[in-house]
Amino acid sequence: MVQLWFTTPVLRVALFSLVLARAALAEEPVPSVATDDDTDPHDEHQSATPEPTKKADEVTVRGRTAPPSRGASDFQLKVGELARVPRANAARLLELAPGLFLANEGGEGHPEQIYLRGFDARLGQDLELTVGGVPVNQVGNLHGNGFADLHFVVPELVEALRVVEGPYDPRQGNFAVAGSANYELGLERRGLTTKVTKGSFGTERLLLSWGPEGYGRHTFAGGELVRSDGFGTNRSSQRGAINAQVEGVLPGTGTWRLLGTSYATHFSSAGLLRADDVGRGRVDFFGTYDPRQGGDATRHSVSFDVEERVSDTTYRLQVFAVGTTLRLLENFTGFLHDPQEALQNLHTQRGDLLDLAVATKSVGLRASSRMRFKLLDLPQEVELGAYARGDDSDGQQVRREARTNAPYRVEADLQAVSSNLALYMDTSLKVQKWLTFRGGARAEYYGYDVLDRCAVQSVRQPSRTNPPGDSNCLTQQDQGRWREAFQRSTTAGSVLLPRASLLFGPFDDFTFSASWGRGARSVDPIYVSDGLATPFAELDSGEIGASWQQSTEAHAIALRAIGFRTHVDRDLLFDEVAGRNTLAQGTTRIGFVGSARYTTDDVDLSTSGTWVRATFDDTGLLVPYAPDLVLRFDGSYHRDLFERFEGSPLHGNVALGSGYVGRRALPYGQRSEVIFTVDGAASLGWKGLEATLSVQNLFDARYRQSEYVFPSVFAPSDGVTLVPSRHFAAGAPRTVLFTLGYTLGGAS
Amino acid sequence: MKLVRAFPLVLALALGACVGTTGGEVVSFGAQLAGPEGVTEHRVAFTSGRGLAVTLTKASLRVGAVYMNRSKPIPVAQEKSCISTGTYVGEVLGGAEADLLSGAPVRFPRGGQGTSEAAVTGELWLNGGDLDALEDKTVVATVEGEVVLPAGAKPFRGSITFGSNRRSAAIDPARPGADAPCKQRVVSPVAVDVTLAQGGLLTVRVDPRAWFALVPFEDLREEGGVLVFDDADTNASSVGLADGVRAPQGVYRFEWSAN
Repeated sequence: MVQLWFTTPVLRVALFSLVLARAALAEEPVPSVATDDDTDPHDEHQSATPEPTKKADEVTVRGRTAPPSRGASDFQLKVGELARVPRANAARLLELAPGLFLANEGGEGHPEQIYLRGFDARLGQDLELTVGGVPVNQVGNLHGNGFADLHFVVPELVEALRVVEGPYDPRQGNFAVAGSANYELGLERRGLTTKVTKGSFGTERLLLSWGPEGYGRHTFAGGELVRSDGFGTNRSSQRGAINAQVEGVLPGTGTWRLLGTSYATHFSSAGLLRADDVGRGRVDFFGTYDPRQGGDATRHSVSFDVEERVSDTTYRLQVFAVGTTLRLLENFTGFLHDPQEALQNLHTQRGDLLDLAVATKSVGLRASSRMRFKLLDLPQEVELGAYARGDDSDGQQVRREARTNAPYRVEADLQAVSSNLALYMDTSLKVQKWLTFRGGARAEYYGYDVLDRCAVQSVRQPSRTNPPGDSNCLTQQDQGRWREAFQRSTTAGSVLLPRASLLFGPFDDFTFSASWGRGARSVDPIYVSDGLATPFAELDSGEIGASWQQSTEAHAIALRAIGFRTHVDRDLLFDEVAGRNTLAQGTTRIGFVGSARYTTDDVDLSTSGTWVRATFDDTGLLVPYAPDLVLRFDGSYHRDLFERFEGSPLHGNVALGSGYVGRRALPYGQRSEVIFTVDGAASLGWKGLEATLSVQNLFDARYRQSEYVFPSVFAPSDGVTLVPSRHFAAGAPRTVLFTLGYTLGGAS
Repeated sequence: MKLVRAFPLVLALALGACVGTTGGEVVSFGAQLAGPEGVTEHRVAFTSGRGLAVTLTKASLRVGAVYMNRSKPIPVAQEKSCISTGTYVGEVLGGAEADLLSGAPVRFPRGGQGTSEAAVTGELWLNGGDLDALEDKTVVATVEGEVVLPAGAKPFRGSITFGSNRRSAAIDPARPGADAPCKQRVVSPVAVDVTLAQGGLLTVRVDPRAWFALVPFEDLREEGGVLVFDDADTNASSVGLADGVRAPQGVYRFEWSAN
């Protein structure tokens, strides 16, 4: 049944897309002067819908509908000049949103670990990530359900982000536990741009991008190739990413977009180190225990979407297809988790290196129609939407022997076909000019068909004539009775998620909001059992917020303050044995967020702070790992240094970014070290030429970007350490990069 | 000026961020290996479990490591692994060898590490090398003394290793790892009631008298008038002594004293 759904609609969607694309390609591309889908970043509490106008002597403005704001925690972030703040990759742009902190313990090609509002969202399990509406979270990835790798995004092509902290928008789907983030791609600079970067640790980067003149900024192509030896030991990496999009117009007032992305990486990883070993000088702060760690990843996606307004209703349809592969080699525990089992031949600890390989294929669609009408002489809106996604993931995790590097045990070998269908209704209703209700409900259906190809790993009474020995995907039951090694399980579940926001204002530039929503995290296919109800993790989240924003010709200021509370009935916690997060008890988080952004023609400043207290419901003890205090500052200052230099102005820019993460709670009453880093950049531009010097970790702070507490044995001859011990991943030291760029033709 | 006024607020926020705990704490403590209380003269006389009068003049033990776990072992899981499935809350590494009849405790040179959670199970690892290695020639225990048999008093001696010499000759082909070497070397579960704390002292007290509870002596071979325990499972007395050394009940006691 599930497979039928998986194949037939895909064909239908593909055919429909082709028909649409064929019709649309006959049209002219969108002229740059006639495209405007901007929503004022400082007007975030309005349903910013550019009104298409058609007058005899004026151009037609075609625009995309911005989703209506959900209150103070709905951050529509224009990257703008803050793109000049040095960042390792596009994922780091998420840190423009208050309270978002990223770390990476797995190497350059490993996704960033995300912390938000007291959630350790690991590699995306608790943050729904999309790029141009295309989902990034992978369903059924063995390394973690919701695994999300943003390295396929070329940073220069990110135009804006919408980050909704909390589950308050009915459009938010699976994984929107702590919130959701959507990257909007675009290229302001027209013409052909080449950038070459060279710097510390043998880092080299080539960026090519082009935006055809006469086309809107949503028609572009760009790609990067990056290689680096990496700091310390075993951190080399190579990657390439290409993003390309075409935007065209429909016969009416609508537009269509075709987006393609492609990405591949190969990287090494130093992994985690025991703090006591580093303290005793057994291993260097930037060293590694196991140089086999690292991985490979690829991602290819294509998306086509149309948006058209007919009368008072805006229709939108998007179809997408994504294919990914991932291989990760990680060793968290050294020589600890290879117990001598009765069935096995005698062996010593062979090593805990996990070798994970996952391939996923996803197809899906989004469709919505939003109708505007008047009631009580006030504008009202109702939106109906649908979302469908099918995923086929195939993953295998084995342990590899330290001495020979041969795989010696299959830990998991799963194929999962999952279906997620959702329907939602969203409204924006006004009873007074100053009072807006926004919200509705989302109904989700999740279906799973999981084939466990290694279902039997042990048997108490094996055959004496045909003993299983060291193989661990067994084909026998007790007394040696035959059975196949696989087991198939299917299950399904559905859930209704109401979400609502009340917006009061604006009163003298102040707007107040109160939001409440229910979210859910779908079950990891590895936990699916035949016929058992799908164990969702459900959460309730509520918040109150206030914002003040003022825009003049000279400047724009936006200030926000938010208090929130979130309760999760079944949380997830990192487990070093599985190398992923596993189920834990219910948790509650309360916290406060403050943020400010100040923008003028010369200056763009953004700062935010988030404090959160996350506790287990049963004991009242703190939830480990999630940071309770995150502060962030980003700023850029730019001006013309000379009116004319050889006939053209000389542009100067300085940018500064700084992050502070307080001492995170760790297991056993411990606290992590503080993280405080400062990044800076200065650039000079003249005509199409620009030279930039950027420094990440300006003061060369020696810090631990990730810290964990668990037992490990990396030096068995020195004693088997079974008591939990502090481990960490070293943060990058000072990294200096010089970039020379040239743009031929075009104009900003 | 406004910034100055805001500073205390920011400070309070920052301090507030560090309020609360995940429970427990990491602790370091001292650890020592000692013989029975009151035995100080390199001589102890007792009646064994078999009703024999035994006088011990030498008893030493080498312990490779000591562990404490907050859980009791699960029988099925324990069958699979020498390392318990529960969370270990204390460990003493580095090894120590003590003369159990001297009255002088011997310190474990590296001390102990742990967390401040209650331990209910103790483990002693009686190894000198890799716990899982087939061979380990480290002498774990040495005994000398005299036993009064019906035929008269006889001196005895013996030393014990846990290597391939203890491996059963009859191996079930379906379960070749059932009799893993590590299982010979781990003494578990020793019942304990200890909550570790920073700076405290763990004393692992060993009573070698209990090693002889199941030793009949009469089947030991004689060398120059001395009864000799074989370092292998060749007779009931040799097996009994080895089983006594690794008996989790009645031999070992974990004592905790706060600093």
